[in-house]
Amino acid sequence: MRALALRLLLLAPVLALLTAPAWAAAAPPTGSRMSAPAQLRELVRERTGQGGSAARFRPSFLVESHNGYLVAVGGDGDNVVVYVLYGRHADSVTGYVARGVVTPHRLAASFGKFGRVSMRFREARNRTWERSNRDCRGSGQFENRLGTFVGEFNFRGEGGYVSVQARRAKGQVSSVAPQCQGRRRRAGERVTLATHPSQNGFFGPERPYLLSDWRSGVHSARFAAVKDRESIFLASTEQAHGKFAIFRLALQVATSPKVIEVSNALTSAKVSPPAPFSGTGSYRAAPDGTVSWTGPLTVNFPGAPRYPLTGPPFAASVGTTPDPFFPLF
Amino acid sequence: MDSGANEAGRAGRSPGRRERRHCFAAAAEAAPAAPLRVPPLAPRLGASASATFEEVSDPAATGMRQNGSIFFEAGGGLYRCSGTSVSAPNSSVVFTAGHCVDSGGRHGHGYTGRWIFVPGYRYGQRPFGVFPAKWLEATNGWVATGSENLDVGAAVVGRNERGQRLAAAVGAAGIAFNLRPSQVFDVHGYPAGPPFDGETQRLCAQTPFLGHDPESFLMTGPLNLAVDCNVTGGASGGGWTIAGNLLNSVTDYGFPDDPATDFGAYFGKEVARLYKRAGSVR
Repeated sequence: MRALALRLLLLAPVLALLTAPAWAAAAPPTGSRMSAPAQLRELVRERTGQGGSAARFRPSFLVESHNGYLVAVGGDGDNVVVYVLYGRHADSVTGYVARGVVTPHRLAASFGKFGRVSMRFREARNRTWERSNRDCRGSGQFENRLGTFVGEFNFRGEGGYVSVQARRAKGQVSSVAPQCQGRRRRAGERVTLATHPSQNGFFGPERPYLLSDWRSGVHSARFAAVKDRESIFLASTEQAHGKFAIFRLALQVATSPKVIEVSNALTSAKVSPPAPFSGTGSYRAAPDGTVSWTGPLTVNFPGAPRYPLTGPPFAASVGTTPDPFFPLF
Repeated sequence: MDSGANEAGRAGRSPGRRERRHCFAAAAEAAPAAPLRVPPLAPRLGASASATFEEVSDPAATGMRQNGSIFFEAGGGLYRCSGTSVSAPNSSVVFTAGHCVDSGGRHGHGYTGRWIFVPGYRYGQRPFGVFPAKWLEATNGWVATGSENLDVGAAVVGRNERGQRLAAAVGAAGIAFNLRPSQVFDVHGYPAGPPFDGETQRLCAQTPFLGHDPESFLMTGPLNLAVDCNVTGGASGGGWTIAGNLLNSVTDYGFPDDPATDFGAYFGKEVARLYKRAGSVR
């Protein structure tokens, strides 16, 4: 459960970037918003402290590649992360994470043969401070200095699916507002969900879910689906790649009851999630205890198209839970 | 009952091989430091490569006897880990996992019950006696944040029943810090979870560095190390030695859905500071 929350740490800064008004100028005219349900976005923010860590500052900038990919670069703690998302429907993201130099004035890290970041922040002359509601929670605890990152950024993803080079990029340095520093959540602290779900009343009837995952060495993958009025589908992978790691995450919701069908006895299930997923996965549990999880179900991650989500080595299970996010975390 | 012991209890009374636990905290990474090596007091035995935890036929033999089983009380229960005698000025230092001496994190605390190290342990036999701990400490990072990148602990033990100091009785491995991660390790330990029983010393010989756990990137401290070795609960704290019998990591955790991979902490600056503190205890 905690493991996926950590994976979602990667997503949270992307959410912050793409929902921050400051990015209106930097992002493409179409804008970008996650298609995740508001509840889940709120959950991610709550569980991750709006951005993944208790870092006091978070520099970031955004570049658009020629083929529609958005590349967001951010610093968080001692990590530099290059996020790659596709276009306006940012329902799938790949994060490349490397240890690096992260200061209020500099972002630098090497991603091996994929590229490198070495940028310095120049604050805008007409010092623009963006202030949102200062409630010291979520985005409210940050203030953003806008400016330009100058230096060298080049990145070429797996097989050249995305390729960007930039010497200048509009960006921001987000930092905890002085009046919020005393109330800042401490490192590692998480917000309990005890009040959040009950207020919305989404702890309720048992919901069927399907969970499948595998892990081998420093590589793992996971697929989860929860049937509800708005069914949720999530796929994620983690892979160490020398001195950096690659995290991928796809998230989608669907209202059609056909997207997940689960038998009353929980012995069979069929999932057909919408894009970025494609195909169907079929689960069947036999009386002798053997389980099959088959079908052409795949997901398109940036840099890993048609990633298979069924068959060996995935181990699948079906159950019910009153917590709609249980299988996801 | 303390949280670490609770976890251990759920895992079959063996806190050593825990399920993955996380605690995220951001911090600046320490600047690279020059490699540091403390030579061993005993020679290394030759071993052939193996990613399976093979039984050590004679754990009392030179080069193996420095490894032992750890028994300790926490929260009213008895738990097991593994450890290694390490060369130090006081001749009495045992290295193990941080969670074998302290439950770690902001809400954690050090174990205060009885804690003993039994080098060369085999089926209840204690060929070199029992060495009770008189000082236990983990890295500052483990204590403060519970980051598994820093899950390393140390004990200073008293004399055994024969009045011998640890290093005099069984020898001691050397220790090395700030080396590059891509080493070839001999992984020692006393796994107690199935299919093992904790009664014999085991060795994954000459198993190479596989990479870093991706989630290691999301926690504070130097990136950890993965190797092929099918350890189970009780193996936590088992020493990872490199050429020349130098301790260079300890077993920290694994994943139940991938028992073939073992994860250990990188020995960097913070572990070096722990070693210095332990070695100076009288």
